[in-house]
Amino acid sequence: MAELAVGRERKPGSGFSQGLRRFAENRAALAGLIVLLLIALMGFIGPLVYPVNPFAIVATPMAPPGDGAPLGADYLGRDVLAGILAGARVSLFIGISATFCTAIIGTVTGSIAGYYGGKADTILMRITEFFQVLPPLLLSMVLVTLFSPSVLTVILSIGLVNWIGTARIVRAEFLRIKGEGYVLAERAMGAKNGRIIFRVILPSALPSLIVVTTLQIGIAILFAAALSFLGLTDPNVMTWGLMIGQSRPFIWQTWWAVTFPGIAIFMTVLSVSLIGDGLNEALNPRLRPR
Amino acid sequence: MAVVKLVLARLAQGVLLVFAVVVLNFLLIHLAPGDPAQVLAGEFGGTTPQILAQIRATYGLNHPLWVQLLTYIGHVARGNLGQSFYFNQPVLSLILQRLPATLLLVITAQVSAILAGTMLGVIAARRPHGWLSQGITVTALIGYSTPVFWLGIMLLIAFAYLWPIFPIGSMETIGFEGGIFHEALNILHHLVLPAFTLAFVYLAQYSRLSQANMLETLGSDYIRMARAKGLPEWLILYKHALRNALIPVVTIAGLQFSQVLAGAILVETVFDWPGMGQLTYESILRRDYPLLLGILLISAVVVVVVNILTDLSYRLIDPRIGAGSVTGVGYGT
Amino acid sequence: MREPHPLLAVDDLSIDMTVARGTVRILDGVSFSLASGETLGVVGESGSGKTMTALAIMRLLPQPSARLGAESRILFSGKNVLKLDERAMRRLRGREISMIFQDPMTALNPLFTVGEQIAETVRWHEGGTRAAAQARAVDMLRAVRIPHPERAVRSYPHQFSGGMRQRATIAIALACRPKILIADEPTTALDVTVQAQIFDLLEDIQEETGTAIILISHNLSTIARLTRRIMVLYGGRKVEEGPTREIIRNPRHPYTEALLRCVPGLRSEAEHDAELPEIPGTVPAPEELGGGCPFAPRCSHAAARCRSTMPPAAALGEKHKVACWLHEAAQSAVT
Repeated sequence: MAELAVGRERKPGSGFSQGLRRFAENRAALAGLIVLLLIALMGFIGPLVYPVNPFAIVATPMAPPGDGAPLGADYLGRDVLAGILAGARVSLFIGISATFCTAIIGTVTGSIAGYYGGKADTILMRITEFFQVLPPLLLSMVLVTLFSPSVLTVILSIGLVNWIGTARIVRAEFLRIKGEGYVLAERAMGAKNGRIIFRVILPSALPSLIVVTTLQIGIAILFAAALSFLGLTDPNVMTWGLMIGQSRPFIWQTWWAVTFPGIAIFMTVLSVSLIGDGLNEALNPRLRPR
Repeated sequence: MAVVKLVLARLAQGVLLVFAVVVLNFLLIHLAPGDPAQVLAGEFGGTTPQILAQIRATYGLNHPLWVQLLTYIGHVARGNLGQSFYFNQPVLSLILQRLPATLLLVITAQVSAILAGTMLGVIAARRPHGWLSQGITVTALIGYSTPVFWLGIMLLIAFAYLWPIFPIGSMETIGFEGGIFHEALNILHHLVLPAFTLAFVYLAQYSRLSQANMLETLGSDYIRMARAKGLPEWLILYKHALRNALIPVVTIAGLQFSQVLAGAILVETVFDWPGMGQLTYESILRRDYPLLLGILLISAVVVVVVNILTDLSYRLIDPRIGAGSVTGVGYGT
Repeated sequence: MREPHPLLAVDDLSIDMTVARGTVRILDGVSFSLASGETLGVVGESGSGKTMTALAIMRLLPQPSARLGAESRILFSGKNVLKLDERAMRRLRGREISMIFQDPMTALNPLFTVGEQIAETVRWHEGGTRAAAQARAVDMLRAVRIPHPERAVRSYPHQFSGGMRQRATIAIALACRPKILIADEPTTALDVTVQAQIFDLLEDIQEETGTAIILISHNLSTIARLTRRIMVLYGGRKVEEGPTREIIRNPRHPYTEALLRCVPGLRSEAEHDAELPEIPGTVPAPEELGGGCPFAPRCSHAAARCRSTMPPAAALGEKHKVACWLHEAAQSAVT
């Protein structure tokens, strides 16, 4: 019973400000955050500063960088820089919205499986196995193809195939936390399951959830890029993957039209990964090396 | 025999999973917007009213849903995955024609990623803060953040155009004639870039993993014991430590196989590699739904088979699991 | 007649260890010798430097954090092993000097058969065919009294119990008939009944093969049973050394005395497994030590001098030595 008393002190969230300080000291993570903010800024303010329609033919087809278009023009004469600016907003929007779906589905299933165990847990395990044999990217391709490509179907298909990772982490956190003293204390005081799940355990699981969600944004952006590379995207919305996919037959003539959008994807995902790693080290001190 | 029992159990589990994929396919056909018969016919390709009527008859689309499900399962069980009207061929035979090329690519990529990755990890473990170790960490991060199709295009530009030491794509030089050996060499030459592209992400990841395991293993008591026995460092490293460090890598590689297969779709598209991935791209382009769903199903089958093989190889490396205890004499406490 | 060289002579052994807060001397000027066929006991609490002494002899100190003092010498048959190159050292390890460790559960590689782990030592040191090495493995398993050695040789470590595994590591250590066996807490991780069996085994092996044994333990009673001579380490220093009987009957260092008080009558081993906490205080961390006697903070006889200056070793008889200011008179009497 002694642990019930001390348990209270280890309540969640107390290490949060401390974690933020640790994050601020992590140079790689900070660099990632700055780059990501710049990309977001680029996506929202860029089109105002550089008001060129990414679909308009504004230059000579296959014009190299500098010649009428700062980063060159593609095989049709469309401005690559305009496409990159337009793609930033879409990429971030799809990445974050899809991850929002994975976080919701993953948290609900993971917490039910972890908290109630038993049958619920078994079902989650079976679903996990099921998703392990289905290549997630292929499944999301099938979904988008069948339900016709649009921003919404892309977001939902990515959300639907990627939530297992989140669910497993949330489940593990629930399993770990539900045995802790302060949870037992709440239960001893007669708290209802709903309160324990949402008010007691979930806040403690938040650090891990934040980390995995951040990393999922990177995965979602890569998925969206792959889908649009294959043409599985709304043809009226310019994305980085679409730019690469459409210019692929012309890589020998217009290397810039495939290289720059790729760098944009890479930088975005890299900055998200750096932030995720930084958050992991900052918020999960028990995982950090001494 | 415990091994046989184990394989049978895993097979049964695999059959169940594949069955679940079949049901998923059926659901998708019916959930997709539009007439299921139209879905089963695919969008492009001459779908005449006669063909649609024929499909309705074959799949019993006028019957209640559960009869339709049973009919569908019956067809799949007999190996009928439908007809690709675009290619004018049965889906199964189309996929089976393309499967070997994909397996060659995927297995080459995975095996080289595991071997090279573990080697690098082992070397890096000797200096946990050395340049190689840091290089691996950075490469892993880069590999993780790079879209695989873009990496493939960049490699093509670099090594097939600017410095043309590799062919620009496809699996064989068109019209290439020669002995078996030369032909194999020709394929190998075409294989290098796509396999490297597909292996790149995992290579760094496996090095990191094996390095971490190696560091843990090298600190273990049995390595100290091996040193106390007077064994030379290379024997300790490559006999005693490597095998222990390999176990987690094989486990992860097995779990990730479905991801690798998905990556192959993109890599094959970039390199015109005539495998299942390229077929996927074509089926997406043509909205050839039966073909696309067939590929989904066969991919699941491939992953199940590979998982069983991984499981078995895992048991070869680690005697503590399953089969090992069968030969035991029962030395309890 | 005395041998020209003792089998092993450790002379002024000091070890500096780099830790987070700087460098600390974890072993300070320890000297002792071992004759062939002899069993020497080394007693001390954890942190006293006994394992480091053993690892230094094997030249297996953790690198690069541990450094040997400049005056340190370890003479094996008159040759300084600290001067040997790595190749020559490898020929010594496992063949001339062997070592077994505290935890048999982790000392065997889980992926190889017990037989293979014995045979590879034999093949590496002595060459010969795989079959011959395998046959030797069976012989060794029989020698350490593992039942059904022909079958056990093909077993994996996880099929063995703790006691069996420690027997197996002893078999590995003795496979090349070394002249010295260093046993570092060989029974600490084992059940009491199994402990006794392992000690019986070590005793018998000693009789049969004449291997010299350095037996390291925190438990004075286990040492007392098997050894003729004992060395007591505390805080990286040798505080007392002498014939086992004399030390048990007439301990001269307050620390040894305290150790013995915790072991009333040296009865069964079960009763005093955790006897040490009864000495007030704990072993000081090496960096906390000043220039004085390491035991001074816990010693009831401690005077100001004890805290500032390390007492030199005083000879109390032909073989009995103690490092304590209480016996300064004896010290001066000798010199």
